[in-house]
Amino acid sequence: MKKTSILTLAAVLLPCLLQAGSLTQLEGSFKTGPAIILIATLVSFVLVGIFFRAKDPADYYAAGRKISRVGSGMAIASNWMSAASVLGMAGMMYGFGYNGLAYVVGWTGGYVLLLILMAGQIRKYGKFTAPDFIGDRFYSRDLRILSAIFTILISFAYCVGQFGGIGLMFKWILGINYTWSVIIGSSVVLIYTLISGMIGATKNMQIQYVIIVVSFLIPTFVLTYKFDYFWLLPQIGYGAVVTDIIHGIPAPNIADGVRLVNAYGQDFSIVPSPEFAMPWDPSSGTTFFQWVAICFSLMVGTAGLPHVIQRFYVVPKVSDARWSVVWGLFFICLVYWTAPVYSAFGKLLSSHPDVGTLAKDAIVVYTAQLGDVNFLIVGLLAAGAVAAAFSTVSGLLVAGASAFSHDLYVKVIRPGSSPKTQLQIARLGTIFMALMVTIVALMKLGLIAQLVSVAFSMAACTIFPLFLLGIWWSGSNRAGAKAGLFAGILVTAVALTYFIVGLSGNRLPGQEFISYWLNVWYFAWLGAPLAVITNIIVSKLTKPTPTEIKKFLVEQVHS
Amino acid sequence: MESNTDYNFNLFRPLTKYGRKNRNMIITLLCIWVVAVFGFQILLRVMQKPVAEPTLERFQEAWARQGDPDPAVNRQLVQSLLLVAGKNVLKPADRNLLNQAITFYFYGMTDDSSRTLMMQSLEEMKELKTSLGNSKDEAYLQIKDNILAIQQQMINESSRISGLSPGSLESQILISSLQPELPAISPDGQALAAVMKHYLTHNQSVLTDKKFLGFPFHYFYTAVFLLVLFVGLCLAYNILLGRRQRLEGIEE
Repeated sequence: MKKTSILTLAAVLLPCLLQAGSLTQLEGSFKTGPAIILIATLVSFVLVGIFFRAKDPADYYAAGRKISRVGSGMAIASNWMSAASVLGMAGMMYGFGYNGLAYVVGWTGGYVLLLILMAGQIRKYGKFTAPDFIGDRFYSRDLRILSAIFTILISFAYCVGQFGGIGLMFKWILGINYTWSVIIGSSVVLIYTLISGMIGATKNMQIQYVIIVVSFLIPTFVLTYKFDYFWLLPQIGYGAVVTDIIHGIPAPNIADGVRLVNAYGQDFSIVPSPEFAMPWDPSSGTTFFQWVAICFSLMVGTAGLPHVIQRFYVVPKVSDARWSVVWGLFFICLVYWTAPVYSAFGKLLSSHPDVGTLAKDAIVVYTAQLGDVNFLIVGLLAAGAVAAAFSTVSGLLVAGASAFSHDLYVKVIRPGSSPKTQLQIARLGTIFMALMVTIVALMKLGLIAQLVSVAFSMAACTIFPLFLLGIWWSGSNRAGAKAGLFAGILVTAVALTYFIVGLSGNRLPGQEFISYWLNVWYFAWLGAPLAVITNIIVSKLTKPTPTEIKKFLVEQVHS
Repeated sequence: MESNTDYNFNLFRPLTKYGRKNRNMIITLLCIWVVAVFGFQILLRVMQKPVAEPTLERFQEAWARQGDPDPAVNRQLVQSLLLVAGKNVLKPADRNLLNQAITFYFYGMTDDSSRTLMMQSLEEMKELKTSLGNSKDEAYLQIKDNILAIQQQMINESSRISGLSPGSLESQILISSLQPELPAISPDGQALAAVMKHYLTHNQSVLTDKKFLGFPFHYFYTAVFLLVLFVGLCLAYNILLGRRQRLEGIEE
C-alpha cells in the first residue's frame, strides 16, 4: 500500500518538476503541465485498480471486508468527496454567499445521524447492499425491487453531477469542448471501475483521498501567504478575508511596500460586499426557509445514500464501522473547512470588472489561477477535482451495478446464477449506467452541487425512512414500509415533474408555489418526514411484523 | 434482555438496560446536534434586522438633491451607483439599469468635447475587445496592450470629472459601466431606488457584527465550529459507547 502510494504520488508530482510555463487564459487553451498531471493521475488509478482487482463477487461488492478503520475512513471520505464537494460547494458559496454554507453543514452534519442511528446496526445486520437489507427486514420481494430501482436512480442522479464536474475539468485542462470532455472523462472512469470493482476502488479511494487533500490544501497556503493573511492555518486565516470582503478593500492595496494584484495585474481590492457573508441576503435570492430545507435534506439524505451505507459492509467489525465514520468525517471536514477559502479568495480576485462573471462550478480552479498560484499546482488541483469525481463515480457505479446484478438479477430475475454470471451482469449494468449518465450530463441541467442534492433528497425520501424505522422500530412492517415508500416516491415525483416542466419552459398549476416549497434541490424537508409518518400510521393499522424478524433485530442488531 | 418473549421495541422504548443507556446517549447527542445546527440559524433569523450600507444613505441624499447645480451632488450619485455596480451578484437587468444610470449622470457632468472623446474611446475599445477573441499570440498581446492603454487614458480623464482617484477600483468600474451612447431619457428613478435598496440592505445582528478569529461570528460558527462539533459528537459517541459496552461486558 505504502509503495503504491509513493509510486502514485511520484507519478503525479514528477511532471510538475519537468514542466514549466505560464497560464495566460482562464479557459480555451491546452494546458500541457496540468494535462500531464491529469493523465499520470488517471493512469496510476487504473494501475492500482488492476493490481487490486476484484476476483469474486464478495470482493466486487464489499472489498472482501478486509479494510481497516482508518483506511475505510479514507475510503468513505474519498467516496464522499465528489466534484460537488471539491468544485460545487465553493461555487455555491461564491454565487450565493451564506446560503452556500447550508451545503457545508448539510453534507457533514448528516454523518452524525449516520453514526448514531445506523452505522453499527447496518454492519450487525450483515447484508451486502441497501436493497438486501430492505428486502430482508421488510420480508418483501417488491420492496427489494423498488429499493434496488431507487438505489440505481439515486446513484444515477448523483453521477450526473460528477460527470459534469469531470467534463468541466477536462475542458479546462485539455481546452476541448464540454461534450468531448464529458465523453472522454466518462470513458476513463468506466474502464477503471470495470477493471477494479470495489476492492480496487477502495485501495484507490485511499490514494485518491491523499491526492484530493494535498491538491486542495496547497493552493490555500499559497493564497493566504501571498495576499498577506494568516497562512499557517488558511482555514482560520480566511476569516480576515471574509471581513475584508464585507468592508471592502480600496485600491491600490499595498502590503509591505508591494502592490497586491491578481494574475492579470488587477488590484486585489473589492467594493464593500456584505452580501457575501450575511445570512440569506436579499441579493442572493435565497431565504431562511431554503437554507434550513437544503441543510435538512442533505443531512437526512446523507444517512440514506446507498453508496455511503454500503461502505459499512466493507469493514471487518461493528466497532470498525463506527470508527470509520469518525475518521471519514474528520477527513471530509479537512476539505470542507477549506472550501470556503476558495470562495472568499475567488470573490476578491474576481472583483475587477474586467474579469467578468466566472463559471461558479470552476471557481476553485479559477481562484488558484487568478491568485497566480504556480500553474502546476493549479493543474494538480484540477487533477484532484477529477480524482474526487472519479472516486465517487466508481463507488456509485458499483452501488448501482450491485443493485442491478445482486438485488434484481440474482435475487429476482434469475436466482442461483453463478458468481461468474453475477460479475458479468454487474459489469454490464455499470456500462449501461455510465452511458445513460453521460447522456444526461451533457444536458447541463444545473450546478454540480444542485444536481447532486437531487440525489440526496431522493435518498432522504425513499431509503432513509426504511433504514431508520427498519432498525429502530420493530413495529414497522411490510405494509407500512410500502406506504411510506409510496409517500416518499410521490413527493419525489411531484418535485421532479415540476422541475422538468419548468425546464422545458411550460407551466403546471401552482408552478411557482411548488418550485419554491418543493424545489427539486430540497424537497426532502417534506418528503422524508411524510414517509416516516405514513410508515408509522400504516404499520400501526396493519398486520404486525413477524416475530422472527423482531427477534433478529433485538438479539442480533441491538444486542 | 429482560423478557424472552417481548420483542417489541423502538428507539424510545428499548428492552435492555444497555439499550436504555444507549437511547439516552443518542437522544442527548441528537438534541445537541439539532439545537446547534437549526437553533442557531433560528436565533440568527429572529435577531436579524435589515441594515443599510452607508452607501444607500449617500445615494438617497444625492438623489433628493437631484438637479442641484453643485457638481458634488452628481459625483456623490455616480460614486454611490458605482459601489453597487462593482458587486458581482447583480442580475443582468439590474446591471443594465445601473450602467444606464451611471452613463447618464456621469455624462451629465462632462462637457461636449470630453464626452465625444470618451464615447469614441469606448467604441474603439469595444471593437478591440471583439477582435481579441479571434487573435492569438503576439497579435493577442498587442490588442490587450492597446485596450489597457485606452482604458488608462479614459480613467485619467474620467477621474478628473468624477473626483475618483485614478488608481481606485471605482474608477475602473466606471469605465466598464459607461456606454458609448448617451441615454435619451433619465433612468427610471423608482426602479433605480429599488435596485439600490435591494443590493445595499443586509440582514445583520450582533451575531453577524461581532468578530471572532477575524470572522464575523455567525460565519465562523457555521463554517468552522459546526464541523468541529460534528466530529466531536461522533468521537464522543464512540468513546462513550465503547466505555458503556466494556462496563456491561458487551462484545459485538
